Amino acid sequence: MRFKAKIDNVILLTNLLQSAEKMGKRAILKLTSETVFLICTKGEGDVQMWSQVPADNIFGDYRIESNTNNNTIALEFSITPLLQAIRSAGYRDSAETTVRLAKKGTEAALCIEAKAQTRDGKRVNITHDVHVVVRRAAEVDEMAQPRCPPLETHIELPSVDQCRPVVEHLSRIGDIIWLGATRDGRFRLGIKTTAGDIETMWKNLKNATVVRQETEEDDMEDQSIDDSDWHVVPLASKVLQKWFSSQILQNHIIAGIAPNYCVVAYVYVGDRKHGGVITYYMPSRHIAYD
Amino acid sequence: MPAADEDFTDSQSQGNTQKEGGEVILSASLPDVAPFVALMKAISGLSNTASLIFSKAGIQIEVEYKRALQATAYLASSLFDEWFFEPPTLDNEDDTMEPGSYTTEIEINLGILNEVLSIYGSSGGGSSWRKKGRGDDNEDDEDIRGPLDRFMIPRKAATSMRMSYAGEGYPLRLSLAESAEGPTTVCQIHTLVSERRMELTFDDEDKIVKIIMKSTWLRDALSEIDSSCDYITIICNPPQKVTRAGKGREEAVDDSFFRIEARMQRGSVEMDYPNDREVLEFFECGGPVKFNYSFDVIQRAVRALSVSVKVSIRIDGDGVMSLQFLMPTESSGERKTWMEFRVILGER
Repeated sequence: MRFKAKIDNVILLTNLLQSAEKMGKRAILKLTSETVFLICTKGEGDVQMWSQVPADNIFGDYRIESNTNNNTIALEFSITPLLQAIRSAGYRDSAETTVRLAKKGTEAALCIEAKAQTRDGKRVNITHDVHVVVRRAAEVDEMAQPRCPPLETHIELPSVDQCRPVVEHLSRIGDIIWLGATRDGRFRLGIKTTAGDIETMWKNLKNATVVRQETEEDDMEDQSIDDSDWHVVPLASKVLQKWFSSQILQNHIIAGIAPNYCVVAYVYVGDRKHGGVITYYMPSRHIAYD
Repeated sequence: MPAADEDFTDSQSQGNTQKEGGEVILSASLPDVAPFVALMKAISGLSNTASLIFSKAGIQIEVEYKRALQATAYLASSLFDEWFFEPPTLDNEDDTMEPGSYTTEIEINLGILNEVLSIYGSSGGGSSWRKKGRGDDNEDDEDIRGPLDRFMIPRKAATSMRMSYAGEGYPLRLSLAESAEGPTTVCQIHTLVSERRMELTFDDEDKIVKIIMKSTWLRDALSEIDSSCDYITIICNPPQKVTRAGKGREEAVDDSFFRIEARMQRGSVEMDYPNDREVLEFFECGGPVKFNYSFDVIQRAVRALSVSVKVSIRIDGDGVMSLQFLMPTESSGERKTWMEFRVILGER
């Protein structure tokens, strides 16, 4: 089993790891010959993050070799140490940062090596070893993205800067926020309590169609539904608040809604033409994923 | 499970204030909620519920804290660019009541009003660097407007609000927006059964002490005292003509002062404010005064001090303390919002 590559886009890798760090403590890195997957399934409130990015968006000289499963390697790791190692390499403004999988005694590690220059021109090598657990690729392939019913609508959300204060204030009043969207560009967040109801609505947003991979259901939208109908999901306020606070990128977020079941949010990252996506699954407050 | 879809859509489509079947008692429009938010900062922490009293003069919001503090916030109708108030015609036994003094009173949950007014973020604060966690204690000073504001970084757009009430059995309705293209928020606050309110009167004729000082000074004084303190003591001495012999002549010396004393676990503190125009803008003391007040209750005034410019402290013969807070004024100079906190004497 071999993996070695140059990290060409430290920033993108850092952003992915930072996004994962907001979700939980550990994650899985699945590397195939073409794609890098970063998976975090133990998020608070059962929120899951599944991101995939073409390997060439992040790495150069990408070399991967594995006897099992078509050159696929799956590594489980603790996010913060890896993030710190990558960040540290990035700060040094290094000429070259490489990563490789190595064996340290009986355990595996990712070695991040940065070749940098000190202020007086001397060359230094900085190496971080981050402990990882090699998982059997078959095991990881069995980890499927959560299933859900067809997403009735997809909409580009208002900016995080707009949504976050609204969610914060609504969370202080109640435990459940109703998130809803229509096919004619409207999005709303609302709360109902014994003290009263509040609802904030945005209009003239863009609807989108998303092709979702690795699902069993067809996302063909039900044509019998009127465009102005609302599709809503109840979410735990604290979970939604935490999720909005964890969005570090300024990129557009597209949300797909399976009414009363879940919200699937997509954040597009990486290369404009051939980039990747971070997918979040946020289950409805009343239904837990199996 | 409530039928969320239907209710929400209905409330959004009712942009107008007229609810079917109800007479509109109140319909008002406020171009900038910032002055309202400033008042909320001062009173929202005191209790879960508040009474809102509407009249032709404006809104009076009353909140109580532990039956020891009665806080009242006023918004004059001149603050609003539309103020329509028409109380229901009742068969009033009291025919002596002046038509202009009719009021309508409702009781609501204060927390929901507080949150909805700031729904788009700190009004006027403009910062996107929000501190994580609860509480907005950090941005208090930003809401005070002063003459230099026009040189500051442009703030977020003002949030405007419409408010309406159709009478008993109907909720208080608010709608808020930052701009024509941005989101709109619609809120219905359910009205509660009115509980008996404390009626703490303060007789200005009967006052013994009246002091006016900068709010920051009193706030600083209170910040010197920690929570191990149970009671603070207010001591006030009137000006006495005391003659002292010095250099062969007799001099009149002014001994008057206003003092705050507090005993804490770590020791005690005494803060003296001499009767000096540099220190106290106004000082009047009819006789020596020494009264105790619960520190926990007095401390409830700290936020009000943060959002106000000056505070007037009056104490009457029964030891009731009235704190009146002068809010920053609009460019017109007209006073459109103000607050008063009345505190009962503490008992040892």
